[in-house]
Amino acid sequence: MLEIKDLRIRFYTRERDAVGGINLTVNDGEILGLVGESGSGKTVTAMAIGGLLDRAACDVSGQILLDGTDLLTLDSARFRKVRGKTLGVVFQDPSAALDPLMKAGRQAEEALLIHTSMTKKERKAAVLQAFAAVELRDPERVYDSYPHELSGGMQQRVMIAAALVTDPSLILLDEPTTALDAGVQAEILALLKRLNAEKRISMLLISHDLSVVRRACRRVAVMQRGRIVEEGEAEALFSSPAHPYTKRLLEAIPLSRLRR
Amino acid sequence: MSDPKVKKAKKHNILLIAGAALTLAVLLFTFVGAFYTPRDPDAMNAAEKLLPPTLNHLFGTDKFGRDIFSRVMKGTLSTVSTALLTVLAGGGVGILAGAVTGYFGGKADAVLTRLGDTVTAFPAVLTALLVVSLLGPGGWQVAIALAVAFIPSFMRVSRVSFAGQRRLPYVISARLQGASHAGVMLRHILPNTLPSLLPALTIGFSNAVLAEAGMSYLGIGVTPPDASLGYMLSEAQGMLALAPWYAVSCGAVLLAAVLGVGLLGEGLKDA
Repeated sequence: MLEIKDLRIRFYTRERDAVGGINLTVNDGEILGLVGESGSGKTVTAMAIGGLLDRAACDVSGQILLDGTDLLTLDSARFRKVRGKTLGVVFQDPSAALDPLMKAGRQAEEALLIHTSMTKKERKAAVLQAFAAVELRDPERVYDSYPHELSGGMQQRVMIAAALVTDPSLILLDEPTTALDAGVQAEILALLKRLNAEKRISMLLISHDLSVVRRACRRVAVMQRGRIVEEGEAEALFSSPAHPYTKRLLEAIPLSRLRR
Repeated sequence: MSDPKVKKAKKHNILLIAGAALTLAVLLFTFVGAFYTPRDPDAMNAAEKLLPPTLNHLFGTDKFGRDIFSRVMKGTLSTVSTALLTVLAGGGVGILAGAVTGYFGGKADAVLTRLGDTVTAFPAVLTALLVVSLLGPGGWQVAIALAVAFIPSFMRVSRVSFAGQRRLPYVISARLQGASHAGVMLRHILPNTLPSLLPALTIGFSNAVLAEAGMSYLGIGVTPPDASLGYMLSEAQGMLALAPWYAVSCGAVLLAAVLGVGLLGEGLKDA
């Protein structure tokens, strides 16, 4: 599945490595949580997986193996084939991640337009199916809606459907619920868990919020200052954190939210 | 509560409608002029010299007895087509160059932007003058000359828009779905930059109409027997006391074209 081996990223303008040689594996059909505070290197790691790092501005070494292919060695043309096909990505703020002038349906089918030779009709059918899979009520209406006509939760469902539509082997979720309110957050997390269980899609869930990760993931890695300081089963990690940083992160969660 | 907003929207609507109506009228005038004029615009008639406007000659006649209405139609055609060609060529090249430099940045951006700044440092008409002296006078030569002079202004608007959009999440998101750079620029960024590009194009059109008129007035535009509004204005100047209706009718059509497209752009900007 996804295997990160000794990934090291250093921006030329910084003293410290942004990512200091991490190893991380997302097994088949698993949701792995990656937590850490701002600046811990989790988003840089995500950008490296998505191929979004400006390679002229930083030094990258190590391997990122997705289904056995090292993403770091791909040229941009071959990386494009990976993006959207074997790798789906969902971002933090769906209202910003959707093109404001393009209808939701057309955006969700863009990956199909680029990567497959499906006809317009087939693409629409596939998107409507994905919309149904992410529990959007009235998929037909959503298909013909502009992003501003949808609520935040619906927008994020559209994004998830867009990532899902090409049947990728891994979905990368960068703070997928951070911009949403608590109720919608819980719904989206439940949806992700259900999609993971039903379709056996592996997911890498990146968040600064331990309670989010705890609700969605069985296995968790904790990142601090570019290194992975602790990794293990979520429950074990939460009941008896070994690393002092994990303890501090845990203490930062309000008690009321931990009990949920 | 939403009252002020409604009023505002209404006001823009008026600009848009007035602009569109005026533009449409000028375009219609131009279009008809391409195929039909009431009289031969170049036919002189010694018996009908310097007639004031009547039903027979809507805009009167000049000192050679030529029908001014027909001449204005023909002049408008040449002025509007020159301006359109200028905007198409200059806007096309400028927007493309700005899109590429704004989106990719880097060395090409630095070089092209400085080049644009250098061209901008000279007044547009001076640049156009240089190009005309290279290409020779005439309708399309003037259009090319003005296009060259206008490229930097289009490029700057488009560059800023593309540079501002390229790092937005929706662009990155499209890239992550596997879209190519060209695909992202065309399918996603371009539609989102139209609100700033369209007014630039309409302003460019107005400027082109005025610049063409100015150049023809100076005698470096179209050559006789062709006539454009600017050329005819300079002609009219010589008979301002004898046939003031000549200058007035040329000026009025020129004003309508510039004002109409200007209002249209203003309306579009806030639509």
